[in-house]
Amino acid sequence: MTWIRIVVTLALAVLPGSASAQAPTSPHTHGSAESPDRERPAPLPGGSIYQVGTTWTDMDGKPVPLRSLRGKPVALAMVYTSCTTACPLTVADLKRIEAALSPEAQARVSFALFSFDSERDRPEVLKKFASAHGLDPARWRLYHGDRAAVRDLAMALGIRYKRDARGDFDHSNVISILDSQGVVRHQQVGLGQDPAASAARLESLAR
Amino acid sequence: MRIPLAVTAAAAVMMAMSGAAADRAAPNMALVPAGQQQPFFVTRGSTGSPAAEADRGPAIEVPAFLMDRVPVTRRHFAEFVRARAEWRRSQVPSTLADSHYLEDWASDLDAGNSVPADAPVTRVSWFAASAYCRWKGRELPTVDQWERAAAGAGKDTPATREKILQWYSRPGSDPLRAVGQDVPNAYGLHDLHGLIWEWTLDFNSTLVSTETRDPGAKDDPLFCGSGSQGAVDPNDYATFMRYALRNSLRASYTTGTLGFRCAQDTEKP
Repeated sequence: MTWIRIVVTLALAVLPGSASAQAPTSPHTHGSAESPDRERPAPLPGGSIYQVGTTWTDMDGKPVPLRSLRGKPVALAMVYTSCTTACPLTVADLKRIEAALSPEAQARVSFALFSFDSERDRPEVLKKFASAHGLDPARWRLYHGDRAAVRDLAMALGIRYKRDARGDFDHSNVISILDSQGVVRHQQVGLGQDPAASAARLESLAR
Repeated sequence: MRIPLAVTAAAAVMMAMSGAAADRAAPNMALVPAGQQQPFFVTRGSTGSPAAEADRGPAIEVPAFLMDRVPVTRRHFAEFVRARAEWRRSQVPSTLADSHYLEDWASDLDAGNSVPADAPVTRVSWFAASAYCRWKGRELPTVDQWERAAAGAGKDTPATREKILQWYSRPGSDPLRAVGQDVPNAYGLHDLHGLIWEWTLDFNSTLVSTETRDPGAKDDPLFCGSGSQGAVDPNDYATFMRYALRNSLRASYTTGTLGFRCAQDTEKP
């Protein structure tokens, strides 16, 4: 578990201190990688899925502690890019949620796709997928993780999945709407659902 | 009667070897040899027809692995929470364990003496169980590993099924006894049945949809692709019960009858 602590420390160091419970002693270092340990954001809520403390690699190959998603509301789904059935529909559903948001809200939220496929969905594959689907890189982030990270995140989100003999995945189709602290505020279950409820929740979280 | 005799002989050998001394010897794990595990649920074919006997699909090859001979005890879990403050009852976040986590303990570090210290630890979430095993350099067993290990107990004989079902039908209010007091199975594993239910690494890999009850239905909204699965052997109700339980769990849940043990690959990657 030492690595988790290291990750946490890193995450705390790079995070903009959303928090103000403890007044920062040196505001000019706020949010910089060199921030001293004493400048810490408020504790993460116990119900935040960021409590699972995994680390991922984004489509640009950059390591991303899950906790670094903290700070913005997020619409999140788990997919795999070689999926030809449900996953493109999940992405389409997310885009419909995105389209239903006001421009102000669009600027304040993120869309995150976490891949089930630790073997095939390398960052460069994710990058291609993002551009093929016209996902705005300012808002959309795609993440690759190892099997343990995938499992821990799926467990935190209540997502069931199974890798089959061909390397494909059967999985629950769930879009989760997280608040800026990573607490699940809404889940949209199933494909092709009306985006209104998810969009409304995201819109209000972005205010 | 060849198999029961073999099991009995193996059990006798294990009994002779085990006892307190052998049980405490590191690594205190038993080898489960490589073998095949018939999946209990199989994915339906493209026709959507229920899985037929002839359509069982391939058995899963389970490589050899090591498994704890007994479930993790309260004593051992107390060592873990002493070493890892973040897993103490007062510290653990609700994402990782619900509010009943270790609630039968006397305090953060003291399991108390309501049941023996060598009774299995229960009221632990999947996250806590998984963290314990990783702390030990191990992992929770997968569903396939667990079922393969349990098959060594002669799971498939009607008498064993009856015995397991009798235990499953009890409401789980009896105080837990110490681990390792039953006759071990052919691999030297204790308490796979009759004491507690156990977490598995991938308990969330069972995707049973409503289609199991309605073979004509299609496009269950929850699952991708061929996700619906059908039971191979509807007579194996004991196994069905375990899959049903796994299907009902969330990783943060804790109950008084759910504990765990750890496993390890024989070849470290």
